[in-house]
Amino acid sequence: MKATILGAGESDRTPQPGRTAISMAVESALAAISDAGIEIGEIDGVVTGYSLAERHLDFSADLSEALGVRPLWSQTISRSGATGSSVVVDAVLAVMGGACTTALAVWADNRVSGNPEDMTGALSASLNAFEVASGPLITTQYALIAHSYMSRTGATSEDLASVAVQFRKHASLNEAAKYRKLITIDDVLSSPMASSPLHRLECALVTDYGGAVVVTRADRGSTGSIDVLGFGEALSHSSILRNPELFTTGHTAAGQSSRTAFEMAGVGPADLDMAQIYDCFTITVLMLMEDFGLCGRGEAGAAVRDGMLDREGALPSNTNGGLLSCGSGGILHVTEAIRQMRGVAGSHQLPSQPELALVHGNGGILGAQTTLILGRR
Amino acid sequence: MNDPAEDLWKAWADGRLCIQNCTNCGALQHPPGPVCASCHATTLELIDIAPAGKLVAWSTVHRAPSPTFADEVPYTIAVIALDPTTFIESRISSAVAESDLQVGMTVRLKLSKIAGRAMLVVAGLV
Repeated sequence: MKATILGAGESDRTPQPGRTAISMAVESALAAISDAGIEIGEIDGVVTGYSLAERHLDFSADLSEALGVRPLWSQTISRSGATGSSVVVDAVLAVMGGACTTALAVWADNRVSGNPEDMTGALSASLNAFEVASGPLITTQYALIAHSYMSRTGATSEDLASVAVQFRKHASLNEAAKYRKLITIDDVLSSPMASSPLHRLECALVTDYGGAVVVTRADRGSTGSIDVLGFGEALSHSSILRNPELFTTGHTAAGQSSRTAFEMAGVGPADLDMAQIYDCFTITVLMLMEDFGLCGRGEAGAAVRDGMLDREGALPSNTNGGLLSCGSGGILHVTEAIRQMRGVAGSHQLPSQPELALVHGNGGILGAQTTLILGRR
Repeated sequence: MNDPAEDLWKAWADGRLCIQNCTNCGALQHPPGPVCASCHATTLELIDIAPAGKLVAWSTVHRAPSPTFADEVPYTIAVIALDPTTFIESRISSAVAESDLQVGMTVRLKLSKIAGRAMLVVAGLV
């Protein structure tokens, strides 16, 4: 038995004093329930991500209570950046396993409106003490991997920058994106260096966010439902020092998670007509593209420069502008995919409504990987 | 069971140039942990190592992650291989020019304090 997604919703991401993570979770959940065309009372499963900015012992309990529901199954998960895709996997597993019938999968955080001091501490806790001691940023950990990728493959800073330029072009069409002014490769390379070789415009935005989807049994879906045809997860490390492959072959566990998902769906990379790829840094996108088999090893930069990920290219990707230009939270990769496939993406709707899409979440420093394969009926 | 991380920090603070080693399979392991990731044995001890490694990658940090490091930026952080599968992350001495660095070159390690804590750092090139 498969599962299907009935609808998706996002909260407004404009920061406001006192804005809570729960309020954005509620706003996105109500939008998803409305989009799904169901009643709140039909929700009998709730899975949420964690908040860095706001303390909750069990976020899913506080959201359930706010929505006035008493679910048969609920949980709060933490899988760092991959959480946005993993809440969907967990909702699918709960529905397929019979723990509930209709589950809400939500991730929201007030990363700007909340307390930024607490957030800095929470983020540095994600690194090993033997890494933190020499003073790296989270960006530095990705920068070390980027440096290795570039020296191994011959990829240039222009190749990496082309990812940020591409997604900004998509953001320029999206009224809800934070940054919409077109940029050039020179703009990216002349933005301040964060941790070499990564410049500021190669790093994800920090914004408030909320996103939600409604997952139910496939037999309860209708013509507008988006089926979850395949999913896969894999975890290779917490500390980058424990995964030598990051610095030798450049392979990540996204190879495994995407193979699992493709095999379950019975499709391959060449069958896709859209992708939403976790883009916390420009380097992340290039390495993940190669792990998915979208291009050969070391060829991702050239593929992006040739327009592969453009909305009019072979595989339109991060059509909302992504983490680099639209907003924070890997759940937005999921909600954007659903909107495009349902044909309700508004000003940035793709000219051809996608039928088969890959959504991918990456967590930690390229450690936790989650791939979804979604299909339009 | 002692905390393997604390054991290594203490050994470094005492001036011992060492790293965690599995006495069952012989693999070095870093960061240290309670179980060997190669053979899953729990027979892990600290072993003295030669003060050298190979440069894998580096990055120069331009914005400090916390007030602790604010006075030090910019500084260069590197990944150094002690053997093909054992990596450490550390600072490259400011006496070493970034333009002299090459991937794969042998570097000389020594124990030195970073923000008050003894670490294995890159003291120079070989």
